[in-house]
Amino acid sequence: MIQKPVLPKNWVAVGFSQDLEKGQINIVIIEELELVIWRDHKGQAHAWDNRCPHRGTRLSLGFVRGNQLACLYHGWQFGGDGQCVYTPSIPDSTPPKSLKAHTHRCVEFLGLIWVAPLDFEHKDIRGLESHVRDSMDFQPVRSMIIYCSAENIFNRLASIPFPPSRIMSRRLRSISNMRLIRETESVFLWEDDENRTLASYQFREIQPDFVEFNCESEGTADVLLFALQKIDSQKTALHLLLAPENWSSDPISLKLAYAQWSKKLRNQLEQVF
Amino acid sequence: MSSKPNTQKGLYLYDYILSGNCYKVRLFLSFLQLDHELIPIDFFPGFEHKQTEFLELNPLGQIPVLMDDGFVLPDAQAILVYLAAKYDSTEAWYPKDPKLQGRITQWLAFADSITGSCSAARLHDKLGFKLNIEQARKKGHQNLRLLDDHLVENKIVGKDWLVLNRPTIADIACFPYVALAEEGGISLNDYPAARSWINRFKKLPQFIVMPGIPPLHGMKNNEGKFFNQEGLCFS
Repeated sequence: MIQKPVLPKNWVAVGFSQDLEKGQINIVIIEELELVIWRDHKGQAHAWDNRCPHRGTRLSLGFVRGNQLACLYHGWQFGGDGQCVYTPSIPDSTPPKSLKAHTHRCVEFLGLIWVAPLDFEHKDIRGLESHVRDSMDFQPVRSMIIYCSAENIFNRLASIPFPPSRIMSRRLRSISNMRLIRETESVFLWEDDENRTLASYQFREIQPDFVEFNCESEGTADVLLFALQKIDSQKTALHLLLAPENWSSDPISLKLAYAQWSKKLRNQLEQVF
Repeated sequence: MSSKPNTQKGLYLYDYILSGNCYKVRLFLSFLQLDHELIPIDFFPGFEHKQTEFLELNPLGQIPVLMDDGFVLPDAQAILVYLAAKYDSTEAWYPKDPKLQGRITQWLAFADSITGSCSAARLHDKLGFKLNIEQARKKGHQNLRLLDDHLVENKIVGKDWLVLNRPTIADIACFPYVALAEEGGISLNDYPAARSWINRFKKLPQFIVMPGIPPLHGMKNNEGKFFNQEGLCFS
C-alpha cells in the first residue's frame, strides 16, 4: 500500500511572503506532500492539502474569491478555515460541516511563509523566533531549487569550498594561498600562509533544515539564514535570507552579491560525486 | 486558406488560436492598440501551414506570418521588432539604444530556445507530436532556471522585467511559452520569480488572454464583473 505523505512535525519554510500576492495561488511540496498556498484579500496566507474534498480536483487550479478559495471544477468555495461555505449548484443550502478542506498551520515570519501540521505541539512560531537574534534585519535574497537532498545540502554546507562574496573581497582574493581550516565542528577559518586568520564562518542549526551562517571578515559580519524545504529525496528548495551588520552601505550590491554567490553554491551542491 | 485578404491594404495576421507564437503577436497588437484582421490557419489537424499555398507566404512553413499593406513577414520575433519599429512612436517597447537593442535581441533569440523546449513539450502532450519529450522538458527546465535567475537578480537591482523596469518586446517574446509550460508537463512551481513575472503581465493595460493563459481571476461574479487583486469587482 502506498502511504499518503504527511507533513513533518516542524515549521517548514515554503517561500517568501513577497512571492505570494493577494489573490495568488501557488503549489508547494513538502516531503512529497502537495499543498496549495494562497493569500486572501485581507492578506492572510493559507496552506491546505491541494485537493478539493468534493471530487479531488487540485485546488491550485481554482480562484481566490475575496477571502474564499473557489475550486475550478464545481465552483465550491472554501473559507479561510477550510470550511465549504458556498456550492453554486445549490445556492440556498448551507453546506454540511463535513465539507472541509484539509488545512495546516500557516504563519509568516522573517518574510517567509511557514507551514506546520495542525497537531504540531509548538504551534507558536515564537519558539523559532527566540533562536533568531531579534536585532537582525533579515531580508530575502532569493528562493531556489537545488537538485540535491536536504541532508546532503546540510552536510555539505559546512564544508563548502568557497566563502560568500563578501568574504572574497578584492584584497582577500589577491591572496593566493588561502586555506580553509576547520577550527571546531562548526567554525571554519580562512588562513594565509602565515596562519593569520583572514575570515571566519560559523554554522548554527536552529532547527533541522534551518541553519544560521555567520561570516566575519575585515571587520564586517554578515548573517545568512538557510531555510531548507525538502521536496523529495533528490530535490530541495533553499530560501536564503541575509542580515548584514547594517544595511546602509549599498544594500543592493550586497544582496546581488549573495544572489550570485547562491548560484555558485547551487552548482557546487548539484555536482555529482 | 479560408479567407485570404482580397485587398493588400491593412494589417493581417495568419494566426492559430492555440499557438503561443501567434499569441505573442496578438498580445503586442493589443498593447499597441493596432487595428488588424486575423486569418485563421488550420495548424492542427489540417497542417495548413505545411501546404503549398501557405509555403508561398513562408517557405519555412511556420506561423505566424504578418502582412502589412502587402509586406509579408514571417517569424514571431521578427514581427515584434517590425511592429515596434514601425508603430510604437513612444519607442518604449524597442528603445533606440544600441545596448538595449542588443540586450533585447539576446532575449528574442532565447525565446526561440523556449519555443524549442517548452513549446515542443506542449505539442507532444497536447497534440501528440512525436519528439523526445524527456529532452524537451529537461531543456525547458534549464531555460526556466536561467530566466528565473535573471528575474531574481533584476528584481534586486529594481527591474521588474527582463531588460528594463518596464516591459519590452524581450518580455513579450519569452512570455507565452513560459506561461504555457505546464501544458507540456513543465511545472512552474520551482520558479517563483518567473511566476510573479507572469502575474505582472496579466496586470498590464490591454493584456489579452489565450486558451491556457487565463487572466488573474478567470471567472466573473454573478453581476458579470471580474474580481481584481483585492477580491473586489471591476468590469
